[in-house]
Amino acid sequence: MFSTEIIKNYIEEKKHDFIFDVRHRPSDDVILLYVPQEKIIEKSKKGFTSSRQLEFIKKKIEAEYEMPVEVVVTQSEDHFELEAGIFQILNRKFDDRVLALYLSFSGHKKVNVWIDIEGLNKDILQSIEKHLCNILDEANILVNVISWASTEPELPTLASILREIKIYQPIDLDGLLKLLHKNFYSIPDKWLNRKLDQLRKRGFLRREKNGCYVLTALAVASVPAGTRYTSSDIERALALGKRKW
Amino acid sequence: MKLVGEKLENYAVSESDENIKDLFGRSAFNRYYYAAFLITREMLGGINPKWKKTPHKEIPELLKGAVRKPVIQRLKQNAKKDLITNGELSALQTKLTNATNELANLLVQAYDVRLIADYEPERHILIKNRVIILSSCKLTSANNWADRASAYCKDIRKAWKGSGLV
Repeated sequence: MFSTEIIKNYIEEKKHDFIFDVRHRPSDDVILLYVPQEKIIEKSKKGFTSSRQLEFIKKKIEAEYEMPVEVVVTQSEDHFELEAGIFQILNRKFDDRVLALYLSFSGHKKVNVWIDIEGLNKDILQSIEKHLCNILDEANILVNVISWASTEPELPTLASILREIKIYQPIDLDGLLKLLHKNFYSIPDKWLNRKLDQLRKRGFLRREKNGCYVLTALAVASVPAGTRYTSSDIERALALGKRKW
Repeated sequence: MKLVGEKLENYAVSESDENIKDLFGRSAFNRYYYAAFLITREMLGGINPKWKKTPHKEIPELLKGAVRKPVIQRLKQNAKKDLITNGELSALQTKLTNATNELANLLVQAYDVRLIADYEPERHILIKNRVIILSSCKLTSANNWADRASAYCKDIRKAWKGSGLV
């Protein structure tokens, strides 16, 4: 059986002290390197590592010892306690509207947050975001990105608007609004009208006399297509089929 | 699947016989892994049907490579044509990178614990403050693997949608 001591010695020699454990998994014959998440930062420095360096170490060991290697990123006890603490504080403040909250650290100081809220709207979103940033700021932690899981709080990109129009064209403003509301909870009519006008002026759309929008050749060339089931061409064909029958 | 894991977890916690506790506890880890795996597989199949059959071990690499690359390429092309703003490009790119990294890390860790649970019976569960632990992983943490996976999958879908690819 393979001895992990050789790998441990290699890691010690290379001073990769952010790898806290090495294990051989007999069921699939893989070497596992265990690294705490808080030791992974964007650019590696003494005592810390980066995703890029871990990938390099993994490949180096694989080549040297001719065995597959996996890096297992682990979360500390502090991580889960902080997560649970913030979850409780926010729920106390916002009447149990926070359904879930997950943190992902990049080093000790930077964090990405995923939040699921009941009944998401712009006011509650801003209020929770402000409160969350204050709590983390007190702990000297910088919020990098917040993701709202319930539904998409941002507005659709022009690329996704063009794709929807390609599939369902000719389509008027109300029809398009209905389609987009499935994924974007609050798109103002005026905002969408402005975007459509913008696309029309730039030659991506044509507005017909009955108020329906259709793509121009420029837009057709800009919307990704292909032969996959999820291709806009296939979705267009399926939408036409539904419309016909 | 998560529901099954929870039933097994409850049974393991309330069981007094150490051997039975061990059996139910490790089975709960297995189910929690599969709950996260199935959510990921569903998301992958939604963006490319071929990816639905990706073997367990290949999913983390797929997430960091093929799931990310076409979206970032397309987002950059869209930015050149002014179909997305630089702000949208940066936000979607960051979200996609974070979510794929987190999901890949979660699946590697959960898969490791699942293999220990299934194939290394000599490594028994530990009980600390009424919490079941296997290979330093708490069953209470494994309980939210599926919900975490679901949150990361939503961000990955958003990035694919924002790029116009799906």
